[in-house]
Amino acid sequence: MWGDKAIELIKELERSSELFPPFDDDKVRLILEECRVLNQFIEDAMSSTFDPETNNYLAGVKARTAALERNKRCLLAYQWNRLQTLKKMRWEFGSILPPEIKANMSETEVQWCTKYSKALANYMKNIGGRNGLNLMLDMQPPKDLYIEVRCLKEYGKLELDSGEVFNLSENSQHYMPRSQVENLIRLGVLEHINWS
Amino acid sequence: MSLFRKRNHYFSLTDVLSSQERVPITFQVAVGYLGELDASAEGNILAAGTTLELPYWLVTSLYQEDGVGIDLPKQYKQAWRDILAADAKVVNLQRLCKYFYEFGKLVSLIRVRDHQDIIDLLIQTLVDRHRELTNWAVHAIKQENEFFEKLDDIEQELSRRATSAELNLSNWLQSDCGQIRKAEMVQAHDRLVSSSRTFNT
Repeated sequence: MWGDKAIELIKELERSSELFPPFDDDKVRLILEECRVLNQFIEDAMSSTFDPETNNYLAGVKARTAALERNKRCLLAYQWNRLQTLKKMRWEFGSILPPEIKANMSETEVQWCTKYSKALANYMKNIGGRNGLNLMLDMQPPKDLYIEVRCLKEYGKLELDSGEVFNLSENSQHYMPRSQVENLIRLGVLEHINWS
Repeated sequence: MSLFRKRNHYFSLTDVLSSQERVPITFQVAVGYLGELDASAEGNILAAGTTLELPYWLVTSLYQEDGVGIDLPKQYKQAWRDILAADAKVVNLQRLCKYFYEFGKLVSLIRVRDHQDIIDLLIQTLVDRHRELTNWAVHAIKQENEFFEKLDDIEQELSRRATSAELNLSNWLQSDCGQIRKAEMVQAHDRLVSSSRTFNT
C-alpha cells in the first residue's frame, strides 16, 4: 500500500541500535518512484473529464494527494532527524568524526557537515574579542584551571600552547591546564581524576 | 505541555509513527480508483460495504466523502474505556497501542462520535498511572524491566527523564558536578565498536 516503504524507512531509523545508521539509498529511490506513479495518476485524472457517475475520481485524487504528502513528510523527517544527529555529533566528537560513522553518511550529508563545521568555526572566530571564543570548552563550569588526568589510550605527544610537551602513554598521569585537555577527556583518551 | 510540543512537529518521528496507527473505515457506496487499498477488491473499484483498517493520515483525507463512515479504533471504544476506567494501572499500554496518548489525541481531532470522552479518558488514564510511574522511575536503577515494557511511548520518555533528573540531582548532592566526562555519543560509539570487534574475532 501507499506510504508503506516510507514508514519502514522511519521505523528503521527509530529502531536502529547504531548511533548513525547507513543512508538507505535504495528505499529512498523506491519512495520517489512511488511518488512519481501517484503524481502520474493525479495528472491523468486532471486532464480527463469529470463525471459523477462514470469517472468520479475525487476520492482517488484526494487519497493519492494525502499519500504524496505523507511520503514527502517521511522523507523530510528521515533526513532532518539524521541531520540533528550529525549536528550533535559535531559537538560531542569534535570536527573529526570516526571513520565508522563517516562511512554511513551520504554524499550530501558529508557536504552539509563540512559547511556546518565551517559556519561554526567562523562564528566562534567572530565572537568574544580578538581571539574568538571556543564554545566547545567549559561545557560545565570549571572549578580549577588545572586538573589531574590519567591517560587511557596510547596517544603520543601533546604540545600545549605554552610549548610544554607531554608524552601521553597509557596509564600515565599528568597535571595539565583544563582548557587544553577537555576535548581529549570528552573523546575518551584521558580520564579526569577527581580526588574530592 | 512542552514535552508534547517538542515531540509533535512536522519532522517528529513519534508524530509520524503515531499517525500511522490504523482506524476502521467503511465505504457504504462503491468508490472508484481506490482499488489498491483493498487486496481483495476486483479491479479499480472499492465495492459498497467494504470495511478496511487504514492508517490515520489516509483516513483524514477520506472521511468527509459521501458514504464514508469511520469507527473508533478498538482501544478507545466503550469496552476498553470501561477497563481503563476500572484500573488503568494494570493495562499493558505498550501492547494495546504504542502511541496510546498521541494517537488518541489525533483521533479526537477528527470529530468522531464520543471525541470528548476520548479526551477525558486520556487525561484520566495518565493521572491514574502517573503516581506509580513516577515512583518507579525515581527508584529504579535499570530501565529494562517488566514495568518499563508495559508503558506507552510517552510514559517511557517521562520515566527516562525522571530517572536522569534523579541521577543528576544525586550527583550534584555529592558535589560531583565539576568532573568532565566522556561525551555520551562517544561512549555509545565506543561500546558499539568494541562489541563488533569481539563479535568478529
